[in-house]
Amino acid sequence: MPPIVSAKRLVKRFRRPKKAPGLAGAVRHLLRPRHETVTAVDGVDLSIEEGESVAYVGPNGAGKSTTIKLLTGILVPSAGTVDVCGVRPHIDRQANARNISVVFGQRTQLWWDIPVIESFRLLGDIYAVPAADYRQTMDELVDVLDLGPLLGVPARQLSLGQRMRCDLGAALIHAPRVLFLDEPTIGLDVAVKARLREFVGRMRTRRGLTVLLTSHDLGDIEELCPRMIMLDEGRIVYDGAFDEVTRRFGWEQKVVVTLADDTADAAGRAGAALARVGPRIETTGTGLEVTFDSRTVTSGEVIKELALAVPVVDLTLEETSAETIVRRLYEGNLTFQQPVRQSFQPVGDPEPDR
Amino acid sequence: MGRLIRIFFRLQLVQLRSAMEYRADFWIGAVGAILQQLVSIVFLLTFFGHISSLGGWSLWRILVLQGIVMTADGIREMFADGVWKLRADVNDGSFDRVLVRPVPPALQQVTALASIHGIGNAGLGLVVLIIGLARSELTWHWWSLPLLVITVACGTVLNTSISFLTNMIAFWEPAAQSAFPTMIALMRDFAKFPLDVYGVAIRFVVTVLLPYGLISYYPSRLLLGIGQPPGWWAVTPMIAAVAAVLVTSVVWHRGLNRYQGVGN
Amino acid sequence: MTAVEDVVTRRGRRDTAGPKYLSLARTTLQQAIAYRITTFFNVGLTFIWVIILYYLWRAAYAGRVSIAGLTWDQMRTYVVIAYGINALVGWRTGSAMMATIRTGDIVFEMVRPLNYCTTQIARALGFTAVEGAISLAFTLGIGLLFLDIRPPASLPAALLFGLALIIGFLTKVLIVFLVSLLTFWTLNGMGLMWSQQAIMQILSGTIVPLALMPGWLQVIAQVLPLRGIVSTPLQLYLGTTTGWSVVGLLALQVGWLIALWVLANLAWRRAFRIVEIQGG
Repeated sequence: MPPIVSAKRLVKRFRRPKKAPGLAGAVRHLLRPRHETVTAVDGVDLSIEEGESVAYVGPNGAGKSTTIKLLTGILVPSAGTVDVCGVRPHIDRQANARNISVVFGQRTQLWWDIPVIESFRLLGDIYAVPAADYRQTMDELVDVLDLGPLLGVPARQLSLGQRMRCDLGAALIHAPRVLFLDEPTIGLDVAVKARLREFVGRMRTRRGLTVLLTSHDLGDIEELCPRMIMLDEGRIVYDGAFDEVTRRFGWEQKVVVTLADDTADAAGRAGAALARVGPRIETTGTGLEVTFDSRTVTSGEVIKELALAVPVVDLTLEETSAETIVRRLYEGNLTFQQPVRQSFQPVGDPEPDR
Repeated sequence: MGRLIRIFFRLQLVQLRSAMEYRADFWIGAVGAILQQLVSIVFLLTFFGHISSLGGWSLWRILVLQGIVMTADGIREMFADGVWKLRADVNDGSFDRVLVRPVPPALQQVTALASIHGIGNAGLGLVVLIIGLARSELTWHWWSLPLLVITVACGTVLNTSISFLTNMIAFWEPAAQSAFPTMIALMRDFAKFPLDVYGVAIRFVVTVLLPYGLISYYPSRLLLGIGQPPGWWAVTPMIAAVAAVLVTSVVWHRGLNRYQGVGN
Repeated sequence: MTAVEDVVTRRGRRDTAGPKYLSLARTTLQQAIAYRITTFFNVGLTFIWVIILYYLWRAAYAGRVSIAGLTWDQMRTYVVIAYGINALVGWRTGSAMMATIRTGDIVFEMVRPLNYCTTQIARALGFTAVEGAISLAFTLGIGLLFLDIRPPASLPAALLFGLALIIGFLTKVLIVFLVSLLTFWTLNGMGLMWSQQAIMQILSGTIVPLALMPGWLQVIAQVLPLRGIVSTPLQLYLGTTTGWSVVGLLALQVGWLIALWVLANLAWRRAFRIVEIQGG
């Protein structure tokens, strides 16, 4: 079976004009325009099987949104090929549109002033969904996403979380084969994120939906995407199991502590208490930031030692971000190799810095 | 094809519903739009208080010209005002959505906005047109009414195309906030008066470059029986509409290619 | 953003009003210069009707020396300068005033001990500098190069014209300001602008000189303040009014200006109070 989404040596370059500021700059640009070339996507190879759920991750500016736009036909590649469900998106745009669906986190596809149900009906029309299918799909979506009370409300009156749920429903009305989610959980609270994750997971198992999700927050992907592709500066630096990544590189954790008062040697005392672990301790305006290797000590132990050593008022355990993981990958001098399905052996296992 | 037409009307209905949410604003918009048109009428009435005829054109005959232009544009406002949203959509990325739906992007853009207050302009235009026709002492032929209807329809298509075309600058200069499209659209006011009064330059602009004149002056000469106009002038509206649509399509495709090549 | 810049500019100094309002004007001047191309087309499009009217009146004057006391030379001059004056306070001024209210920046204004009306006038000056310069360019360019307009009837006429122009400018800004206050109660600023522009075009004598209007309309236009914006300055420019009538015209202009100033100040204070009570 050929992959449902495949990209080969995908490249996207942008030519940006370089304009000096002010009136003189504007005139100079008019006479002799100068441009610089920005390569947003630099030779990306993707291969996604039907039914997979893939996270497409990277720091801001890595090229995630550009890739999504290339895969959905919004942008034309500078080089390389894209194939989605046997269709080349930017060439057979309308045929491709029937197979896919896109949810943009920042923008809704609902019509702003009319009740949500009207938007759904209109989409059903636009995608030529047969009446029986529409009814059945709607029932399921309303049930799973709990859209009942929202249907009669105009989109502009919905909260961000409610709107996100409706956008997800709207995206699935025409039963697409591939669902693209571009930063879908920005600004959402934990409860809503959990619900969305559950929903997407259910759609996968029930309908064999293929999902590609971009995010710069790894917390989103947990439990949803077994496979993670990590992007940095337009190139894929990792393609394999999500668990592997957190296991290998997510060992750096950080506890942020707020202290009761301005204890002069708080850092010293904390350092002494955790001496055998050798954490990195930084002083902040309100307390301390303790970074440690979770492979050598659990967060529970660290917290316990800290509470004994310094007057802790409040603390948070920070999740590992994509930025941190990418840094780790590079520090480990990794080069990307062809992904073996679901398991990836990076060249040069990074040693913890002791 | 039938499906596209149905979707066109459904999208219009959506806009209509949206507009109804803001009822007071609709009335203010409608009144404002009508008042703008009224300025031209006030001028005409005053002008003809002192002049009896403008080179063979009476007040009533000129009202026919005004009526055609106003009605055609009112209808455009009601159904195809989305072209004025193109720049905003390209700039904030909403235009991406248009590319991932299985409906031709042009259709989606044109229906992105339906300024229902256009009904004021269309209504006023019809009133003015009917009054003008009634008092013009023209001879009605079997082709008079069809010609009129086709002329107005072509006028709507022409205005939509020209406004679409000028707003497509957004694909090449997305940040440009110029009022250039507004200025070009306003030039249809030239066609509200008989082209005989203008100099050669204006006549050329309004007949060849921005063929607003082909919608009002030429068919009206036939309709009202002024001078001895050749019969083929009956198709000038269609020539204008077809030419405009062709040019607009070409540039639209170029614009889409550019958007997909360059991003936003 | 203007409001924030204004607050920063003030820096809490307790000095005279002048510098504060001047810096407001300077801020909008910078904005206006940034949008000079848009302004160019905005002013340009108002001159479309100058061209239309030119040709129509030219046809009308073929075989006629004067209409309602105006010669062809005078009518030509009237049309060009009327639209030139109209463009001094253009689209941008009105929409900026409305935007302050619509975006909620108005709350900055409400906590400042400045006169909101004077603030808006100061801002308008910033826009007028650019819109006025471009309008002047169009007026002189089209008027002198193509349409051969006439200079003022005499030196006193020119001076009176200048005086009436300034009073008329302030009158227009006050009226636009009053209309902008309606934005507190409606979202459709465009509709308000269109209505105000249309009514102003008719009753100020822009689209047609007052002397040509049908009797009933002329009477209405003669008592309203709008004539002071275009018609009065032009009557003085062309020298069609002489002697005590001149005094009468100016007195009417000034009288209305004072009345509008009082009305404007009452209106905005009232509007602020209503907003404070209702919570905007």
